[in-house]
Amino acid sequence: MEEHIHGLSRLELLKRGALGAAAIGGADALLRGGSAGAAVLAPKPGGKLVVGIGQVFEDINVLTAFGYRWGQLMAYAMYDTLVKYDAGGRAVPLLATSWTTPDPKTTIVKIRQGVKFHNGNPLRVEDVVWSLNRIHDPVKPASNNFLALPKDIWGKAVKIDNQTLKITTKKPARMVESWRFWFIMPENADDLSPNLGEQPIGTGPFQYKNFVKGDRLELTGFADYWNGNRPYLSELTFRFLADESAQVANFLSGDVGYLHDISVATLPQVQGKRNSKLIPSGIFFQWWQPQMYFGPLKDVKVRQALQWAFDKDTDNKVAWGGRAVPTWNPWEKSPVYSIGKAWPGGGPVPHYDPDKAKSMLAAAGASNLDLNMMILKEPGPWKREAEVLQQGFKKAGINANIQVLPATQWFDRLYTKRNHDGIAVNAGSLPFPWALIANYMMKASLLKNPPKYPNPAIPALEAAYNTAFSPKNEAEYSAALKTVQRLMLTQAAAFHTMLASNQNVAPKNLMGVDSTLIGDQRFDGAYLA
Amino acid sequence: MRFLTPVLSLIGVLLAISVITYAIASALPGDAAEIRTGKRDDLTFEERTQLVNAERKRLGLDKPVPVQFAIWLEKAVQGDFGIQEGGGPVGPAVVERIIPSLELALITLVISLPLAALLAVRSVRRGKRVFAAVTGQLSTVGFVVPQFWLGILLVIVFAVWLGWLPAGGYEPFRELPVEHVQRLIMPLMTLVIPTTAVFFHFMRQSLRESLQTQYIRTARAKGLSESAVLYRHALPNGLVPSLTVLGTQFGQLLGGVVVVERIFNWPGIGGLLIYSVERQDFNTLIACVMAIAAAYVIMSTLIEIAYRLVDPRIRRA
Amino acid sequence: MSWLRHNIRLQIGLLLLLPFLLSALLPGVIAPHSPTDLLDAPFAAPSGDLWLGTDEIGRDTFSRLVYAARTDIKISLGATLIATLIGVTIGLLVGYRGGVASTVALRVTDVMLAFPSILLALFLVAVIGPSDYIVMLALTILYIPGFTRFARGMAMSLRERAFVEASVISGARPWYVIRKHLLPNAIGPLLVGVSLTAAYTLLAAATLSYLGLGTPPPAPSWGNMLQASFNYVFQDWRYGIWPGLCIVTVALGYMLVSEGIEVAVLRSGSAGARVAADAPGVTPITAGGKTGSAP
Repeated sequence: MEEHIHGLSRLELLKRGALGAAAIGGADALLRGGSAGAAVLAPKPGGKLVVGIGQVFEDINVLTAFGYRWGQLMAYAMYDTLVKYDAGGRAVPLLATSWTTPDPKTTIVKIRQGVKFHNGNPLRVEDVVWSLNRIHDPVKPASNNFLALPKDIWGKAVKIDNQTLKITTKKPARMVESWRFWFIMPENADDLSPNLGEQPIGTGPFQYKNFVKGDRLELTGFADYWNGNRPYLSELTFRFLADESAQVANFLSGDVGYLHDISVATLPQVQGKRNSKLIPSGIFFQWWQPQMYFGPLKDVKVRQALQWAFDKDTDNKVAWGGRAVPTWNPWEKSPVYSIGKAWPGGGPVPHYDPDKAKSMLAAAGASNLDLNMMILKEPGPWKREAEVLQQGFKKAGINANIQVLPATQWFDRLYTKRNHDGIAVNAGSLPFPWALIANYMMKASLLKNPPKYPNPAIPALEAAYNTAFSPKNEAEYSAALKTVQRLMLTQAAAFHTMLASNQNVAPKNLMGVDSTLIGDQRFDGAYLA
Repeated sequence: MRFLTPVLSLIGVLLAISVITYAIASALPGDAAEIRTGKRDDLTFEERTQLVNAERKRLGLDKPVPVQFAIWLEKAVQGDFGIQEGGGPVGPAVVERIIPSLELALITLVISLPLAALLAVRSVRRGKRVFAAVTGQLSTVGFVVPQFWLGILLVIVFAVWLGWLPAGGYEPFRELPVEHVQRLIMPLMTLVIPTTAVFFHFMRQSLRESLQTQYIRTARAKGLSESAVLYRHALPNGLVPSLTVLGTQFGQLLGGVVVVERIFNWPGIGGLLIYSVERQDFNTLIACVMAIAAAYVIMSTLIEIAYRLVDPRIRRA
Repeated sequence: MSWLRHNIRLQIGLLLLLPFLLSALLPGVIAPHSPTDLLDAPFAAPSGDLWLGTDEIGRDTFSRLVYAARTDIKISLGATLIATLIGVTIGLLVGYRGGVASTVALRVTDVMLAFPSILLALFLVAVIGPSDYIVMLALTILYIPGFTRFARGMAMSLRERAFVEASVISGARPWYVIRKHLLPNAIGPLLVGVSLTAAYTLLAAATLSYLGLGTPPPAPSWGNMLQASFNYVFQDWRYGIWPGLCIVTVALGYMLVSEGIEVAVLRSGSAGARVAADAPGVTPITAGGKTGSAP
């Protein structure tokens, strides 16, 4: 899916690494050992792996390519970031060997020495500084600058000496978690010819060999990779498979060895076949978000009625194969941030009750509601889920109309124009997609004619969300998070959240794949035993 | 001199197509400037709008559409089709992708035509009634089966059950000829079967008709062998109408190639076209359309020229 | 009914089409269930109640096939008939008149035929959004040039015929001539083309549905049922057989009907038939989907 806006990890929440796992509670069971695959056998060099992914790439320019399969999988093969994250979500040094924050607005980072780019040039502090500033360039777009720090927070990065750089921000900011997507490029990469799309140059474990647009990306192990004997694999190929049937066909015929993030529908067709095993990664979190500023869902009473119209059980059974965990609040079990299991404001937690939904809608003057459901045109459970939910809505007197859109239009309506009307499916990785929801829906100032929202709850939600990103202290942070949760639930800012792990099908003898809680996957430590 | 008209009309048609395509593509919702500027929710509406406007100006989208078209045309005839959304020039990218599509289309024709001719000739021979009936029915079936269904069935049978062929993908012929051919087989079969069916249908029809003519009866009366009658007299006359079908069938073929490419992951122009419509990559989109149209029109023109060579009696209406 | 007797092709063709036409007209009567209700687990085996089992989310496959018949036949026949009406009218007029109009028509149809067909549908969908009517519109536009050229060709050859010349000499107005002489003689070959085009539009509509450009979910069409089935082909390959069979059967029906009509026309010995026989390039033109550069 194009826009799993993952780990908008300004999610300092990530820093509370253990928090991620604990907070999910029951979802822990979904993560069965992840990357542990504790190497029983020592890594063996050599070996080729072909990874099948569900998106067709025509563009591999690190400045313009987008999609989670790029940002959390392919890019990591060719490019390094300052840190990576372990299974618990804690930042682990990668290109940055250490970092300190002498004051809340300053971060000093020490850069690893002896790192080489694929073209043989050494990695210098200048390259890192340029990359960080480029991502935050206010004028020049980069595909991942929506994962950069906001303009009112980012200051600049400067070189201190040959090993050190300093990042200053305008407001206190925790940024370590954001470093996941800040790929380090050669200085002045914009001026490179051939450009980064034709000849990617990074410091990552695999280097570019060949790109057949629309078919595959071929990489070979980078002999001068800074990290010891890694990578072990001599060849890594990403093959683009647009349809689920192509994914299955290519896997069964042996053309693809590793199927990345396959849907619940595909799983039964490949599971257990061809001597394979399942590697779960990340916790995929899906929700439906409403257009709250205009249209039929503008009225909070209508949204609250809708909370009772989602037939979660049938959806889970039919579209998710029973593997998903429906939840309203992923923080339910967190000892620190939880607002408890009780529904804010008292009363039962909303569940599927079409009659109640119907009467609530009638009371709000919205009987026979016409509801648009926007989904992505991509392999995934969306279509099945939408059709199941649609039937559930019918019983509540809601006429739902499914709109299937290609990624760019979905993105455009959701984030750029913010003019989608109805509910739209969205997904991300834990631990805190609530922030993503807030991010996309709350920024009234971005609209041409910001509405004067009658109910002060939404601006309050926006304020709490902003605080959560730039808190003065721990107490403020905790309070802000709780407010966000409370308001999200009572204001019906998101519906029907489902948790499920990404499933990856791998050869049984493949070891050492790094799979994190947030869905990142790296192959630098992977080998075929 | 008699070839001037077809060539002129080729240029005219291409021009007309470029105008229409440009007009329609301009009507597509979605704004390249907006998309390139991206989300930028760290800016206010005004700030972002300024950026969008600047980008629009930079892309030349602030001018009226006919002016944009003129600019595009001027560059296009020099071979400059602009830059893709992801960077990189459009021209070479499109050329790179149309070659695999043309490969499929042309090889299909090269196989289907003689195959259909052979089958058609055999089925009109006297005394081959069973053959005629069987091939007749098979050709109808081969024609009505949807290509995408056929493609998937082939994948199931040959790639999954039997494991004889890879499920899809592409290897350049120059580097890995064997692998290239392996991956060519199923897409080719998916295209050859319906194409042969259509050609067969036509050729058989016109063969039958030409067999009724006085000319043939005379040849038979003269005592020529069945083969001689067929191959030397009926077939040449029967082929001429087939030429007209060749033109249209090539057009159908290009359309079929788009679907087949998707099933087998064959990196042809169809995939790029769909991608550029979805990604709203205007430059690539126009170039793809022009490439496909050019292929069709050039083929049509070649056929018209051949037609004239073969039958000097034809006069333009 | 004489045209029906001794015409095996026509008989079988109509026989094949009948159940589908009935389904298209009265789906509620023929289908035991609603096409959108969730009735059982996904991919449930066929049972007494659910004759072909269920689809990927638990709806009755058989009922969906029946309702899909309505969608697909509506689109294919609708596009064909409208394209015929418009195309033939224009074609006959310009063919009869000749001159500039005729040449212009030729050029315009040239351009239209050169336009990649998938693209037109893609564009329309991108601008308006996927729906049945968009597919019908795209297909109509695609097949008008074929009929125009055909009718133009017919008109041009018939124009030279004695009975037409006689009519013109005696002062008949063009429209009268067309109606009385051209049309009746062109009907036969035209019907052949119509049914053949119906087969083509059906296949084209299925292809567009397969690419996701047709009816949005949950409404069924054979094309989008096939698309869904491909995602589960390794889990339950039988599911994809039914919509494919429906498409093949209906297309076959249309084709047999067209062949049957062709036979009947040739037998009837009408002027149109003679034209068709003499100029093999003129008749089954719409075979191949579009007309070629026939003079």
